Amino acid sequence: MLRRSLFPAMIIIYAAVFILSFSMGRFPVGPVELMRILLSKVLPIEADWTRQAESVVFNIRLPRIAAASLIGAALSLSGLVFQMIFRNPMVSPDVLGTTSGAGFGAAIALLIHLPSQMLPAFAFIFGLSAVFLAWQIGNRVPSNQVLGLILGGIMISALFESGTSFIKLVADPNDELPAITYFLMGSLAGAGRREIGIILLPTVISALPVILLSWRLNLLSLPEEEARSLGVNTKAIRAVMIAAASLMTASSVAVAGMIGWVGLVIPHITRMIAGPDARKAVPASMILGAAFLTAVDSVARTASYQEIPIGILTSFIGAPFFLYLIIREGRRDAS
Amino acid sequence: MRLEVSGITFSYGNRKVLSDISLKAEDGEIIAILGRNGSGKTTLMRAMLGFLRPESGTITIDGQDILMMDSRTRAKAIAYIPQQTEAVYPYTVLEAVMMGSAPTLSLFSRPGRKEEERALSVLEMLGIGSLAGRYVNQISGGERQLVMIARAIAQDARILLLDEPTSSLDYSNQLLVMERAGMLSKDGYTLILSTHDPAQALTYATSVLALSDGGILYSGGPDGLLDGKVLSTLYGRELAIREIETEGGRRIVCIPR
Repeated sequence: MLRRSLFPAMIIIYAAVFILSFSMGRFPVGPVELMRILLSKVLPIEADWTRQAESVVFNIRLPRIAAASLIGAALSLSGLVFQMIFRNPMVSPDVLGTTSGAGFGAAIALLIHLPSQMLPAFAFIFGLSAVFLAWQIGNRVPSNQVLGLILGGIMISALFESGTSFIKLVADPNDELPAITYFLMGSLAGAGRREIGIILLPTVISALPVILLSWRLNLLSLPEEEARSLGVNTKAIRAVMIAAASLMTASSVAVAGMIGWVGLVIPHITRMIAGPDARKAVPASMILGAAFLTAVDSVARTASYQEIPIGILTSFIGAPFFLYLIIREGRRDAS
Repeated sequence: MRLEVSGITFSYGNRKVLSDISLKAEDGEIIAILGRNGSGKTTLMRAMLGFLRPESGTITIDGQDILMMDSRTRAKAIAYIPQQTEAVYPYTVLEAVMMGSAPTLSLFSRPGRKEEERALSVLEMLGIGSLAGRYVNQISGGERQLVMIARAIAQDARILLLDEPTSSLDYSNQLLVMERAGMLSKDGYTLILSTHDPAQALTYATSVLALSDGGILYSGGPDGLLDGKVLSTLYGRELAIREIETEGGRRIVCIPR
């Protein structure tokens, strides 16, 4: 019964966050006015609102909320995918180095003044390389692949972060350095229609195979030889999943910089609510990720006079949660 | 279904792990593979699953080379029941058994009502129907082993490969798993299991393969081992074998001298 009402409940939560976040900010738009403004595009509703209200809804808040939702869904799904294919609930795009790799790629693109359309491509190439390297390191520690993968990821992350620091060192302190620094801090302040364009297509292209193959994801979460003995082409499906998860992370980084922890925390909460079966966990993680990042971004833009970079807020929430997970896992192992 | 291993040899680098191993398994047989650690039991199992390509020799199912079969066809013929592993994600028993339907489904399809009914009937057959809604990390080791066997049956495979199925189980769970294994062989399933327990092999198996340093030390019926000579050589200890007739049939114990 609980499971049956799961999706309607999640969609209601997301809808509530969506409507609420419009009413937050220096120019609040109430729920009724918001619905009228949004529906006026498709229904003949007489405009009794100011042009300013309409402009805030369509030009400022809608793109930003849409970007936060898409990025939240993409980061959360990529975390879930990584956790399942590597059979390791402690990994995420951050832990595996994908985020740092993508950040490094984006920093290079900014340093050498590449055309802005090249930035997502650079983020993707380096993000994918990072996860591939971490995976290879994990494979070389067959006695404890869980730990090997995490340590490999930490090492690769450190390497790419040092690379990024080096880029900052050689960057022009007048224009390149602030651009790179602010970009990497993680913010949706610049999210407009163009940014939606950057994130939408890669997310749809990546999420589609994950959704279609979601039951096969369950099989990949079994030990390698068990999955193969069930006739599963583990290599091919794992490769598709790694590419999809890396692309989702990289396109998020390309739009909003490095937003950590979402890909670790939300999949855990998803499994607590919906169970581990990916047929439910995949859509559930996307909805929860979208709701979470939209809510956090609303706080980021309204909590203080100056906007707080969202990456800082997700760390404040994610780090204590990670600690909770470690302690919980430790207790379970001890019992 | 007939599984035939003919003269396979396999090495890891310069180290020969299997040397000229042959084995035949017919419907309803229980074949026990005995041997000390590192004797090649696991390598032989991996070869039978098609995970390794032997340097020489062939493995066939009903005359067809397993390396020539596509992985789904092979999975519908031969299934693998691993040693106890800790479940990373706690699926329900029903979800775990339905995973066995993987080779019967195309890439993008998911198990539906038919696969669910099949999984439930397999669980009933093994006497664990009441566990369907439980989580795999909340049932006993023996029950989990039966769930793995149920998954193998849901896979439509008639040949079941069990890697040390009772090694980490308490005594009552060992009996539970082996009794169900005996039941399956009566239904015509072929079971090939590796074990460290010679008494178990002699009690339940219809045929025994004893491996030593990758070669065959003994291959034949369990009665050929009753004098204890082969087992004493295999384990490097003087062993005496005693048969005990019970109401449930013949039981065998090994006694170190």
